[in-house]
Amino acid sequence: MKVRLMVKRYSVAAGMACLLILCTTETLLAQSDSVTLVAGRPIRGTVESFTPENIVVSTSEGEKNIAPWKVRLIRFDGSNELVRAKSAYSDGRYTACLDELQGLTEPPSRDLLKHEVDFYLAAASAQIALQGGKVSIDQAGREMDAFIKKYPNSYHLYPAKDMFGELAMANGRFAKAINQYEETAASPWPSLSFYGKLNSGKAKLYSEEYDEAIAAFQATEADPSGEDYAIQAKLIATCLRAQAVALAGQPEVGRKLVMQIIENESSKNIELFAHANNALGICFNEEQKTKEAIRAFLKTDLLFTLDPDSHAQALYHLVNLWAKSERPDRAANARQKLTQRYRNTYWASKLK
Amino acid sequence: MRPLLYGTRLTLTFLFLIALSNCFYSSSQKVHAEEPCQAFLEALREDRLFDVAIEYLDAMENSPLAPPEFRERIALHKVAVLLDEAGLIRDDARLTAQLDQTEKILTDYIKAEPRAVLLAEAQEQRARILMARAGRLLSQSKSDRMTAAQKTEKQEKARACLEEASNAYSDIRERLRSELKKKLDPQNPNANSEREKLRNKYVLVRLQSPKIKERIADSFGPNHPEYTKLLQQASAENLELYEKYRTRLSGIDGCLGAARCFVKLGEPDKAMGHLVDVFDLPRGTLQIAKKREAALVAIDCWNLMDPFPLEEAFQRLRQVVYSMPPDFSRGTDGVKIQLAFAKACKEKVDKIKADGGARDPETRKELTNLKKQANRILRSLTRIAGTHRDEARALLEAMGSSVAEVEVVENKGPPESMSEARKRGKEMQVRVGQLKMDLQKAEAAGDDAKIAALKQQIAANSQSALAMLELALKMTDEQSSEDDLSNIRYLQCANYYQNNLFFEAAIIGEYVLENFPNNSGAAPSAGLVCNSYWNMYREEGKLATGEAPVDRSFERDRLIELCDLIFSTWPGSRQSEQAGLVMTLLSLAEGDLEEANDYLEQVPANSPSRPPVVLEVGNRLWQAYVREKRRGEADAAELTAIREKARSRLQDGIVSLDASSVSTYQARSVLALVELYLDAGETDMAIEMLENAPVAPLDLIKNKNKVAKDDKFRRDTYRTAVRGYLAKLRDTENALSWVEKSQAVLQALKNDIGDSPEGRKQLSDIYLTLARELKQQFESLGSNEQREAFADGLEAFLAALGKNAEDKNLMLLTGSMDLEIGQGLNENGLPVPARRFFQQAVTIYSALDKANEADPRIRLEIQRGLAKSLSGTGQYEEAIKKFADILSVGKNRQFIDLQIEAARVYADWGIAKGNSEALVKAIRGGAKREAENGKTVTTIMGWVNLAKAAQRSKKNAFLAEAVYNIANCKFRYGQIKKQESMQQSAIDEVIRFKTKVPEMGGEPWKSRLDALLVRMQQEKG
Repeated sequence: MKVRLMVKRYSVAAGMACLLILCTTETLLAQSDSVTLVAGRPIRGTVESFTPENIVVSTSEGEKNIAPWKVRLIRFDGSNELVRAKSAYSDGRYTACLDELQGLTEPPSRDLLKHEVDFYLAAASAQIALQGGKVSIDQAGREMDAFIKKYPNSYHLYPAKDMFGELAMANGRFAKAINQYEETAASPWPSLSFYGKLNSGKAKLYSEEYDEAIAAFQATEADPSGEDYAIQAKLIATCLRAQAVALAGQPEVGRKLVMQIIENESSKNIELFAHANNALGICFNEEQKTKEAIRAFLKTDLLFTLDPDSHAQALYHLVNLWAKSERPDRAANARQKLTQRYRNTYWASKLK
Repeated sequence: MRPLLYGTRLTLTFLFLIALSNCFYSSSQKVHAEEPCQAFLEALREDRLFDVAIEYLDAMENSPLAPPEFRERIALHKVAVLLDEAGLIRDDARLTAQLDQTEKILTDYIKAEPRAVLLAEAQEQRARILMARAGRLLSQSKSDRMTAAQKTEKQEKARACLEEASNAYSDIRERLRSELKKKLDPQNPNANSEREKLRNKYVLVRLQSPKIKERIADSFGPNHPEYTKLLQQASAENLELYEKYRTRLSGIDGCLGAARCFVKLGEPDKAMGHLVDVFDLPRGTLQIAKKREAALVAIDCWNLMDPFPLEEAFQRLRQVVYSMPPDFSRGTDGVKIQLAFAKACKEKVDKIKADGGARDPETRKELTNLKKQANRILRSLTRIAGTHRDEARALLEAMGSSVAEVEVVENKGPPESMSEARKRGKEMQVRVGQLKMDLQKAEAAGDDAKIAALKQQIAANSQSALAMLELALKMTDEQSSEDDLSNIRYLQCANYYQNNLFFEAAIIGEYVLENFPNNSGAAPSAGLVCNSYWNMYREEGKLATGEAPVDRSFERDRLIELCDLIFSTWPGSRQSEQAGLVMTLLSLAEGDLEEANDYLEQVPANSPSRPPVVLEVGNRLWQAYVREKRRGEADAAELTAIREKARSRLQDGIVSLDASSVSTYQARSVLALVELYLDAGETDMAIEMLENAPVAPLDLIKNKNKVAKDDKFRRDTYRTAVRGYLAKLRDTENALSWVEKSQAVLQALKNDIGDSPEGRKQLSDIYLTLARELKQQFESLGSNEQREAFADGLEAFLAALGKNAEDKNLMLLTGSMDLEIGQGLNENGLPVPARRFFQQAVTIYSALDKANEADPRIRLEIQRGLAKSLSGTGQYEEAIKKFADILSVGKNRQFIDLQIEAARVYADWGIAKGNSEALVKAIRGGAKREAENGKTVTTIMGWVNLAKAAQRSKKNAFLAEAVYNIANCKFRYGQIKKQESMQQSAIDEVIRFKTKVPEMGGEPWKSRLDALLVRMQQEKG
């Protein structure tokens, strides 16, 4: 008896569940877009509109406003190619992403989708160019600029500006890069805003505006933010400040600054140590200590190669330092490495 | 540096970094960092940056950043780095020096009494040094130039090193064994991993014992009774290790060692039984490496087997060949394996043919596959330098190597798309390249029928390729990408280039550069355009040597522009490398050595095209050095700089030379380097290079290498060898043996030239050159002690040669050497030994003079030598008479060098004897005589007339010498005659010259004139 009752109760429960699933499926059919957040449950509904600071999603529970920096991915209904392209982009397969989008047989049905396609076309081109692939930096820059101008209200606007800044840096157009980074620095997007400050300092450093660069790095270091990315960025800012100080004529001061980092931080922090050793190399170079400078840059080249810009910078300096040390064979090897791996970087172009 | 963004891989990396770094910096307590010393050191060693590694270790010695356990091992690390570097040194002297330095570091370290564990590590390094020393001695003992006694001595020394290393390894083994026992601690969970590490080390150390026994056995050779005994012991020890440690890589090393020993013992079946175990290991990177080692042993093993196990060899080798990493495949071992595999393929082909040929489709397919495999491998082997190349070529020949026969050409019908047409065009072009290689070979073999057939095939394939590419262009439409178009155009450009239609290639290539600068066809097209213009430049250059001068400025300007474009657009690329080479050659062609040297730096060290150009630059620099030195105007530092550049390039250029494929030009470059060493006083290096280098000129002659067919090369080698051996006389205790070696080479030279009248002339020229070179060598010595020692040695040599009094050529050599060395001693303030040499020269030249030499050129040399020798002994009057006689004959009076020598005699006479009349004649000329036209002429012109001749010919060094002598003679005259005005006139002479010609004819004359001026001013008071 008990068993039969139990079976009946489960049958009812199962029936209720089926009904619920049917209802949910019906609702889902209407709410076709899906917004995956950095933290929290995904939101399903229809993306109605957006600005650089807000995405409006109409859900079964009403309208929801989401800040773009809280979004990991938006999956729009209506384009499988776009889904595959985004997935390729997320995996770092930028050429596949480009192929997918360029192979779209029909134009996207919704304006939103068209905007999305345009962004990923520009972004994938930018990444390919930055990695030294088939797309030139100029071409990628033009595409990103066109996107920014065409979609001033895009929720991708700040990341697009950040990428445009990076492309401008690679091309040695520092004024343009500073302009972009200052705009992202002023944005409400927390991480982009933080890195905007840091990167505008870096652009000033590369354009040899040392005092301005030092001020920008100091501002970054002084930021009270305690987020993980902020802590890392502040340490990197110190390394870059050491470079700027050295290049401004005080290499001993710069060296002391960077040695504090080398002495106190763990060398397992690869990105930081690449910056630290490059800064140390620049300080030694400014002090005319060629051998010590070579050693510092070699550490980046051999041990801390995760960050392309830092690795390219180290290789650039090694080319010059080996040549100065009358080791043309080693200079040629470093040159080959730089131009093969990072041919579209600012450092490779500086070598020309 | 990127912030959090949209799930890209970069972002993931960033997140990972954040997470990773979080562990380090989010905690409130900071971690005190330590320098990643070990990792950096290993990376430096891996990249072969040994010098940087040593400097780094020096820097870490007192750095607080380095962990203490690293710091206390610094010396051991240094030893390891130096030993790594030693493994790559080919030069014997450098290797010895390196091992000595390494041993010194280690000895000093051991003296400082480190902790027991470190002492043990030091012992291990010492054993490594001993092994390296033994290796060096054994390889030296294999040199053909060693006598049997010398070989035995080297082998004994090597065995002593090996025994010592063996003892050291035994001690280490014992220590490791006791440490292993101590680690048996079930309570300590960490003990297992430590024990495992120790055990691995223990097995590796144990492996050394059979390895050393095997090397000792090799040093005895197969005919010695110890050979078999030691190999048996080694194989037993290896097998024991294998049995115990089958699952470890070092256990597999034992198995391989045992197999190797069995092969050497002539027991291939036993060897194969063990090699099979290695071949059957599972697939894995380390296991595959062991299989390669097994293949190397197996090749020797199969060769001992009768019948040859063809199928097994084929299967095993195929497995290894197709898993070979590219770097390995180009090395000696990789080449050996591939060659064996190609041979196996050929054997199988022959077997199929012998069994009745390919009668069914399956056998036909197999046959085609085998031929394809063998062809592909053999062709790639012919492109790698080394002794195997001829064998690979012969095998290709034996297989009737025509690629056309091997590759089945399918009739595919017309292409359906642009990309298919492009692909087919490209394939055809590749075929043209292969056929061209065959053509070269046929041309070398002089096979006219094959040449004609191949030329036809090349033309047909080339035309088809071009037609296919044109079709591809026609098939392009709006959808075709710029990249496709640029690629097709590039292929067209390559087609024209392949057919030596350089102008056409340049036009199409430039079209690509103008229209598709950012597409994939641009870079290779740029390379081809550059090469096309270079070929056109050279071609025009050839014409220019003919009748009408040809303007090459267009090609030159285009070349410079294009190369600049390539350097800036594709730095570090193959095209950039090629452009660097072309610009180097262009600079060389235009005589700009500095620029050539700079452009060469654009070419990476590992570029295969670099060595010939490096040699070219090195040779040209060396020639420039010799020329400048002879002119005597450049200062010493400038000259040394040129010489060092030449040294660096020549050394660089000869590194990859191989005796089996060396060209005459390359061999001459080695000889140039020997001469450079002699010039720099590095006699040991020079002799080492002559006798023992991988491409040693004396060895090339001895082994009848094809380059030794060149008469000039042989004779220059002999002459340089005599110079080298004689140079050893100054600093060696074994002077007698060097004298003997020199005599032997002179004899070889004499035999080589023969006894014909023409041969005699040649020999006398060579001897005179040799004597002059020896004088230069003598002058380059650092001190008078060295000069005297050298002179003593030479005296013994000349005395030994003088015994052969009936050989007039040898007499001429000894006379001229006596004279030159006498002059050298005199000029360096050693008049007493100088006189001995001059006296000997007078004796020899007088005897030769009396013999009435028939050849007027040699007769002149004899009389001239006699006159100079007489002057050297102080018999000035006789010397002047002799010069007057010489200068009265024919047009001899016009020879400036004879006039200089005669004027010098007057000056020397006047100064040495205080003879004012001689001094006047030195200045104004003397030895008047009646000419054929009845007029009185001054036979010896004197320095004033010579100064005028120098001014006319704008030779400042010559002018400086004239001014020096005029001033010196005037001053001395003034002193003798007590005429202050004459002394002042002499001083004014130098000052005037100094004002007019500030560089004063180059550094040597400048310093001599300055010294003369100071002396005259002081003496005048």
